[in-house]
Amino acid sequence: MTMMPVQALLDGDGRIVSADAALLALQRDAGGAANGALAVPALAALVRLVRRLNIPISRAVDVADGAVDISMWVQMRPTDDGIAITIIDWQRRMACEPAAVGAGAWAQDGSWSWQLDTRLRFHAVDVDGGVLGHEAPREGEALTAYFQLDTGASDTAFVMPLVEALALRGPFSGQIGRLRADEKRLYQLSGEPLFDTAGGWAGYRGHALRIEGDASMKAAAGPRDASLFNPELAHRLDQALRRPIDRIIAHASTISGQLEGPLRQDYADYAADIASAGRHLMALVDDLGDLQLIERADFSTLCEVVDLADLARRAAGLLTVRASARQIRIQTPALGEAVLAIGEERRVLQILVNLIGNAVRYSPPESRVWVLVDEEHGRARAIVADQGAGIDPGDHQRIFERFERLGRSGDSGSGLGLYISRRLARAMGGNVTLESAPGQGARFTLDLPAASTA
Amino acid sequence: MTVVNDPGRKRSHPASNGSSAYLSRWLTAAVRHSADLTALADDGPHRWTDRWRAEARFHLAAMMNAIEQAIVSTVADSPTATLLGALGPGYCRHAIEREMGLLSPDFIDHLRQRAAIATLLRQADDARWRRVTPALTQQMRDTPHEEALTRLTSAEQGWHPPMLLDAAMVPDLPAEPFHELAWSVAALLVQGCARQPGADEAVATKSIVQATERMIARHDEADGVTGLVRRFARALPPETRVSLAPAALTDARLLLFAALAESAIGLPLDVVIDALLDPDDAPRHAIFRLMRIDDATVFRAGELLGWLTGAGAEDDEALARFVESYRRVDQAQAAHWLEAMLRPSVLAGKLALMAGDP
Repeated sequence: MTMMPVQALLDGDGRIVSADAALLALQRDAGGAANGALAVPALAALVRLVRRLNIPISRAVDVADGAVDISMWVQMRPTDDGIAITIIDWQRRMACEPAAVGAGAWAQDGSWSWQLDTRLRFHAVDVDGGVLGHEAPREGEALTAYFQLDTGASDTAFVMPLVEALALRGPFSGQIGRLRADEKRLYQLSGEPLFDTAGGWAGYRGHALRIEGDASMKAAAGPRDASLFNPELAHRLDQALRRPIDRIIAHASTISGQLEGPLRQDYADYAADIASAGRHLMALVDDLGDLQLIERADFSTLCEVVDLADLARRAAGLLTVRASARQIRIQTPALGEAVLAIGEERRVLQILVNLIGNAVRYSPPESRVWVLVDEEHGRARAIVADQGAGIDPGDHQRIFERFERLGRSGDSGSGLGLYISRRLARAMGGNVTLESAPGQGARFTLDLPAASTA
Repeated sequence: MTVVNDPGRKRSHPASNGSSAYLSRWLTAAVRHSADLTALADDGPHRWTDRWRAEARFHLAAMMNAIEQAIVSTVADSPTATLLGALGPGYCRHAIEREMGLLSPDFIDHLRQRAAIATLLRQADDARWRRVTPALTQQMRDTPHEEALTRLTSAEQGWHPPMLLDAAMVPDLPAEPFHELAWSVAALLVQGCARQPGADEAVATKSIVQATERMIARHDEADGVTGLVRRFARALPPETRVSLAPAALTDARLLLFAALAESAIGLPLDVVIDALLDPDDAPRHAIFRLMRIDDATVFRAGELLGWLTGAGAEDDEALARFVESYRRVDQAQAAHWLEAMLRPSVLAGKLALMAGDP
């Protein structure tokens, strides 16, 4: 990628008066003379347009140069005696290779792209918070407000690649930045300077690569989880899978919905199947993301006053469609009933959706699921009871373990839901417990501190 | 005595002159609406480009999804909730395909405008990484309105999310189209419930009506992107509105440009957008001239709008003609056009009828 602008001057007849080496090489490859009219068809067409209208024109131009595609942003400006050409963002890549940076350019290593203006404020970011597992930078937010930039390991030697690069308006790499919102999260930043059409420095564009913390941090965090799905691996999987699955779902939904035009119904149905499978995979990725989050030593939740009855009704509402498909009736707390508890609203809702979803999944058709709420001895409780096959007391602990599904009929989840629910409940000062016996249905209880006594 | 029984007077012209113009106008509107509905539902030649149509269908589906979810989750009685559940998620976005006639011409016009704005935003977003800094950002940097512009930019992002069929889009519509869409969804749900065996249609209708009314009561059109952009434009000093307009066009911010034009020249926002999307260049040229848009920005606008107006964004010859004809439109012609547009619409309609203009 050539970041400095490529310049050229044409005379009144459109012949090259002067040009930078990159453009001259392109002209030569296109069979043109160094002092002749531009031979690259897309550029020549633009020259004709500028001469005809006598106005400055800027547009993206893609040029094929043998096996290489060159993508550029071209500005042509009429002058008194010809045309001034400035080309920025000159990118060479193999024809089959995706753009190095840009909307949708998600790297396989989990890095994400950003662009900064001259005041080092984020101008564009190619990632969202769902993928990162933390909030993405907002447009206009200062780099230094988002990252705390590391000055190097030594107390005496100040090492800050970004500052050195800034002074030289050059590229940088290896700049360590700590997320201000979560100082244990480290990123390695690298970037290339950007220049505008006048050759002025216009900011930086580059990548942020998530890296693991330093040795002292690792030691503080204790021994690493040796299991297959340790948090780091889950995080990487989350990053690597979410975007491709998103795209699969989006494309399959577009095809099945026939958004781009009519399609044979069986083909549309196949696409709907693909979208459905994609959503299932996405749910698994969501679970892995949650798992990664709650496994951290510093995981905490907000303390809000929540109405368990209201949240139970909302959770049940979200599952009505699934329940109706199997003629299962969910009986929720009556409108007007309220039991206030202390917890984080979205996490409590997540737990209730999981518990009610499980009840629907493992209940026989045409049965009933009850969601009850009450308050006793300073504890607020939401109870989800079903008429399913029940769970053997010997499995009551095992069912709360990771990836545990007990092989019951209806098992299709990730086996992480109850584990996550219990961890979330405990982080809020509560718990999720189970009472059940074979043939007697199951009764899960979410217990939280009551708001009235907190 | 009427004209008819006055033997001394005969109609100098058959009565069909005025009535034929009226009939012609009525038929044209009906045929156009019918064609729009067909275009929205089916493939084939139409006055919407494929990209525009896909965007409009997506907005329709996503807003219906949101309204359907809101109604279903608000319905209080269990039998109706069960009936609604049995319809399955996204029922309405499928059902509307069979009942496109529910959507009125006014709603379709609004949907076309909304989809056009979103299409351009999506297009600009793709190109964003190529251009170092948006023209608007450059111009508004370090001004008191910078923060408001950032908020507006973020709000507009909600109009072009990934095109997932089951996505739910906030229906931040003006009151009239919102009412129409909400009641269209309600009607589809009532019909869907009534078709199920053993359904009590009266009970289901009552529940759905109550849920729809509750949802409508919460709707405030001022909360939407359109309200935000209007407030932004009105808050700017008059000279800034005009000076910012070229940047809005350069950045493909059609809604912002229309709001600036509304504040600057007094033409309603939806009329400005209609004019910008008109197959005829004349209204576009007039607005650009009134907003003192330079030739280079007009070229850029032609490039952008060519995707929607059918001028062909890739056709440089058409773009050159577009700019050259713009140069022939002077301020007086533009002012004359504006004067005609600002007349009371009823008067304009009557004059057009008498002129036999459908």
